[in-house]
Amino acid sequence: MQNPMLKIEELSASVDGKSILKGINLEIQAGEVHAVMGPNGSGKSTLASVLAGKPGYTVTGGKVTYQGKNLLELAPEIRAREGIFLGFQYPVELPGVSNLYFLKAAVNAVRKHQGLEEYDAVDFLELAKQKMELVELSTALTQRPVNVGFSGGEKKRNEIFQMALLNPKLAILDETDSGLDIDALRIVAQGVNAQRGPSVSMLLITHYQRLLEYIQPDYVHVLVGGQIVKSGDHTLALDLEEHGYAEFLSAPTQVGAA
Amino acid sequence: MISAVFEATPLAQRALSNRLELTGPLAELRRQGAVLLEAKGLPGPRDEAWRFTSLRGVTDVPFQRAKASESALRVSSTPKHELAGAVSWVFGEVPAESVIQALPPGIEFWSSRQTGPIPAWAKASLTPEKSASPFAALNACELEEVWCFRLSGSPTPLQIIYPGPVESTPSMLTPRVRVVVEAGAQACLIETTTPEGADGPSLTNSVSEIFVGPNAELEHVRISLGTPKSRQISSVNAELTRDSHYRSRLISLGGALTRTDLTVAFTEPGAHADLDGLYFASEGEQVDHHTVVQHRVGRCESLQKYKGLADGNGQAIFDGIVRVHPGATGTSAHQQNRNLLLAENAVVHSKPHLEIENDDVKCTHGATVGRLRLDEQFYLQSRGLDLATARTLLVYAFASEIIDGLTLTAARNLVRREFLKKLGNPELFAELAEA
Repeated sequence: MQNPMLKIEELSASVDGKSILKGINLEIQAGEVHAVMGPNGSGKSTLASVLAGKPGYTVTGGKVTYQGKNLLELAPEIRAREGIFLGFQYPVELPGVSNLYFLKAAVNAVRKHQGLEEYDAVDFLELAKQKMELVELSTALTQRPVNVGFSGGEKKRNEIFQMALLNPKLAILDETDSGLDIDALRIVAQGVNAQRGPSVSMLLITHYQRLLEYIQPDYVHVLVGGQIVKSGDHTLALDLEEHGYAEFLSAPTQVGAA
Repeated sequence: MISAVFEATPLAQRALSNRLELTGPLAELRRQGAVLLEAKGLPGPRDEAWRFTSLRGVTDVPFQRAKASESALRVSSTPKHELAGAVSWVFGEVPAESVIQALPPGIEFWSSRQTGPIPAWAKASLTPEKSASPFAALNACELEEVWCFRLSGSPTPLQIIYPGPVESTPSMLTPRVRVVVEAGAQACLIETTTPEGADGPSLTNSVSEIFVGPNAELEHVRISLGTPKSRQISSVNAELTRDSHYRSRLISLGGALTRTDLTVAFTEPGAHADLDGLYFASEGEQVDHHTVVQHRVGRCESLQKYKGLADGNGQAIFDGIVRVHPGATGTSAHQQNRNLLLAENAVVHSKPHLEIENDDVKCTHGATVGRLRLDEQFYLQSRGLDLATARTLLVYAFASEIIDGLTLTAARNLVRREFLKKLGNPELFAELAEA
């Protein structure tokens, strides 16, 4: 059997000496979409950050294998060039740097690493135009400085636009649905669904089931207290929507108490 | 006779012992300059206005007067950064009468080297200031030429270029320029200091006097480029009359020492000053901006936005005073200084202050010093850009607010290019630079 796209084994991580992830196990095959759900503070965003290599997180145990490689020893930009994309909950603003300029530099850095020919300005613009239609971003907006003056919804659509251009093998979307109205959510989901394919895997980090009405995952995992406490198919998300996280939240602290 | 407070610096001693003759149109300026220099001397470390700025390599060096016109001609092979679309004149070159005649309508020129009667509009360029700063006094004492321009509404921007001296011994250039913007006129003035051709240690000690007439508008850009051996000390004094609008953009991109003292005085109500600055000190450099905004009369507005960067062991300094005089009611004055430290040993000094002597005013000021944020670097890295590129983009983003505020495209491109060159990766940003 082929290597899994991503294999997380007993992953533990801490921030500022505080243990957040406490032994995560998760395997994602090529083409699969996994959703990780959980209450605030359960470690969802930490998981996304550790996978993308954000500074400030200390891996205290376990290992992560991405396409057969030890992911944790790669610099963040190398992870990106190897095909990992992180959609940010709070994208950064870059005054004075046009979105298209920035993305062309990024896409060409990735292509160069992958041994592909770099795009010239004309070809890149052509490609960008196709992708902006997908997320209903105007040319004017994509020529503006990166995320400057963008509404919350525009920033998230810009993240998906970037994902579409960078063409990742593993997309990790961290709370991409937060702060979106129903129209923006539909557009974002449409952009994400267009990227799905047999060689693309996705990890959706979300608090609510709402996003999963538009992007149906193959698997849903419940993350509580830094551990995956339950996994199932997409119907698990519906259960959570109905019953909340209460049953998981009370369980660990109640063990042996009565 | 040298007074008790005089700092017996080699530079001042040289200037006072080897004086220019007190004849010709510059006689009164030279005389007054020498008197002030003799009385006050040049500043030392105990001088409050020079507390953070080391004058080592300036006052302890007996700089000789450079042969200005020769220098200008000899540096013709080095970049002078003439801006496309502007009338560009090199200070020290003696313009031919035909060149003066060929100026576009709305730009008039007078030099103290010219014979014949002095035009009325140029006369003020020969009047000594009542209280010149020590370096302005040194400038007056050492003056060999004064240039004066009258701008009365030419769409063509005027550029004045100050090249460095080419002597291999310590040499000093002493440019002095007065620019008068006529009532109701709109004008654009760019001064560029480009000491790239200089062989030895150089000092460019310049004075620029700006007069903005009633209801006139001036965009005044000063771009100071430096070298490891160049020292530039500039005094810029602007007088703003009724309902005038002055936009100052001071860009200082290095040099062993680049110090600019900007004084803006509101002398009639209704005027507006919009003062931007961008300064960047790298390894071995000191870049220093002092601003004094004098609200002498009411109903005027001043907005200051200065952004500083320090890298290596560089030192970036901002010291800004806003003085609201008694009776200057309805004043609006805002001052903001933001700094970015790019290295452990880099130093930023920021000293914004307000002195308000009446009640009916709206004044704010603030200063920040920060470093590049890890989460922002990570965002760019997560898109595949390496750390050096990510940092360059973030530094550029910090500066872009000021760079994008330059309305003249050629000036904006020059500053972008030089700024990115200083960041060490000009090729990578060729596209960005010309955007």
